[in-house]
This record gives sequence, structure tokens and C-alpha cells, in this order.
Amino acid sequence: MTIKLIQNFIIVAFFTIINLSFSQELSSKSFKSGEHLGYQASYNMSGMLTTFAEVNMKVATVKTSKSSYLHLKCTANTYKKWDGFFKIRDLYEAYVSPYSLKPSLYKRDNNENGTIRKEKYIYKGNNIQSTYVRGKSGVIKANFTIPVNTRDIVSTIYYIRNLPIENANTGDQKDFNVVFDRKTKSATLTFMGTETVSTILGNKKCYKIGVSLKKDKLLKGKASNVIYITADKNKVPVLIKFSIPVGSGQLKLTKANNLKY
Amino acid sequence: MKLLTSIIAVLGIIITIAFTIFPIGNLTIFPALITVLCGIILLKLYKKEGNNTIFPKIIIGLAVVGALVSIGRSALTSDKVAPDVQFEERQEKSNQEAVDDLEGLE
Repeated sequence: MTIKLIQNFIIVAFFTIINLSFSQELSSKSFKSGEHLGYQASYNMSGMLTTFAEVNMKVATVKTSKSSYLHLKCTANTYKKWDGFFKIRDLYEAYVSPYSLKPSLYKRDNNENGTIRKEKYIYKGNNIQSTYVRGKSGVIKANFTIPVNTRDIVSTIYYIRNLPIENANTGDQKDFNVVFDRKTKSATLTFMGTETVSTILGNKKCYKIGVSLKKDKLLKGKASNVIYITADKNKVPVLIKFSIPVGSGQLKLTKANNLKY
Repeated sequence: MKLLTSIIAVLGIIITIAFTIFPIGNLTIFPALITVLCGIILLKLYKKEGNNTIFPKIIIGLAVVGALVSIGRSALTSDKVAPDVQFEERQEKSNQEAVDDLEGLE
């Protein structure tokens, strides 16, 4: 009887350790705390790219009294030359589990030429407790349900980096849900093969991934919104091309500090 | 011919001036080039007719100055983000609030 109990304990302990090490490995696959990626945003005007903003993506560890989280922060600032015409100071943040990358908190604090928009999601299982502020309309609080494995925009970017893209074949698709503006949007990732891209990290072989949002007017078409992710262990998004109804643009990597590999 | 060229030249110079004011870099070259071409055509037409050539000369001059200002500015000014204390403070405040929210979740 005692031997049987010990055997069961060993089996349970073994699988717990395996599970734990797998989930820990999942979080640390392609990035680490301290990583800083910087991008230059350009807008396409009559075939000429005009630079207008800087986008920074940082990963940090945040500790509370009981646990620790990965703080994924994304900021967008227009360049000094544009500030007089249209000043953008946007902040997007996600606090995720360092093991499963599951988000616990999402915050958005936008100031676009004086227009304030703030949003906060507190994830509670499949429910989101949201707080929304737009301009002078005051605080709107609402609770809504999201489908399983729905993430905000910031944690989705890092989630994509952790996908096993190396095992994908050209044409393979993956559907996922993103919650934005208090609405769940269905999106599809399409693996479009590999391409060599000239980056600040040198000429890099990259995975080319098409992104399209279903039933969305903003980001349509799988070929027009493309993310180029380095085909190495870091899986750094080096180039992001986007297409919107009023034109197209791109985000190009200009800074990459504290990469994991 | 003269009227059409004049209209294109005037539109071109308006776009050139607008593009010179906005920090959109070398894109000003396109309307400036069109304006200069129209200006040269107008200059020849005005000379042929024996009219005063001040209008095409002003058009050409403004277009060249606009293009030079834009090229010079894009070459001399680098893409930099102005230091923003308020934005830094917003980020700090957000961090502190987030820790409180996360504590509340546990």
C-alpha cells in the first residue's frame, strides 16, 4: 500500500516537473526580460516612405507581493518634426504570466494630438473587467466575455514570436482572437515562406507571415499586412508592412538590445 | 495650352508650398519638378508672345526654393523624438497603478 502511494507520488511529481519545465520553456523561447526593440515607422506617400514616428517595445519583470509578471510595454512617439502638426504619445501595456504568457492586465493610454483614450482590461478567466475613458466623456465600466485564448494586441505580438513557426509549411494558417476596443476580433496568420531581409542585425533569413483580420475594414487582406520575423531562436520582428484604407506603411527595426540569443 | 499649363503650374506651386511646410521630406521634389516644367513652358510661350515673363519666373523661383528648402531640411534634421517629461510621468504612474491592480487580482 505504502509502495503504491510512493509510486503514485513519483509519477505525479514527474509529470508535474515535466509540465512545469515545458511551460517555463514556453515563456523563454524567444525573448527575455530586458529586451528592447526599437522601430522607425514610415508612411507611404506616392511611393516615397516618409518617417513619422518611433515605436519601442520593451520587456521587463514586475514583481508583486505574491508573484511576478512580464511587463510588455509598447510606446509610440511621433518625431519632433511632426509634433507641431500631429503629436502622438501612445502607450500600450500587457502584464502576462512569465510561464504561459497568458495576460492578466492590459492597459492602453493614448494621447493623439490631444485626444485622450484610456483602456484597461483585467482578465478574469474568460471575462474581462474593462474601464474605458475617451475624451471628456468620463469613465465607462463594462464587463464582457471573451472566447478562450483571446489576447490583447500587445501580448499577441509576443505570443506570435513564441509560435513554432519553424515547423510550418508555406500556406499554413492559424486562427486566433484579439480583443481591441472592447471587441473580440478574429484574425488569421498565414505562413508565406521565407525571405532574406536587410536589417540592422545584418541580412537575415526571415519568416514571412501574413496577418488579416476577418470582417475588419482596417486591416484587410493577408498579403498586404506582413510581419517578417527572423528565422532564428530570437524570432525578432524586423519589418512590419501594413496596409490601411488610406494608404500603407511600415515599421522597420532600428534597435535591438538584450536579445536572448 | 497656355491656360492649362498656367492652371497646372499654380496647382503645382500650391502643393509645393504645402509640402514645404509639412515635414514630408523629399516628396516635395515631384510637385516642384512639375511646376518648374510648366514654368519653363510658360516662359517660352510668354517670350514668344512678347509678354512680361514675371509670372513664370516667380513660379519657377518658388518651386526651386521650395524643393531646396525641403531637401535641405530632410538632410539636416534627424529623426528624433523630443524629450517628454509628461509622457514619462504617465508611464511611471501607469506602472504603479498596474502593480496595485495585479495585487488586487491575487
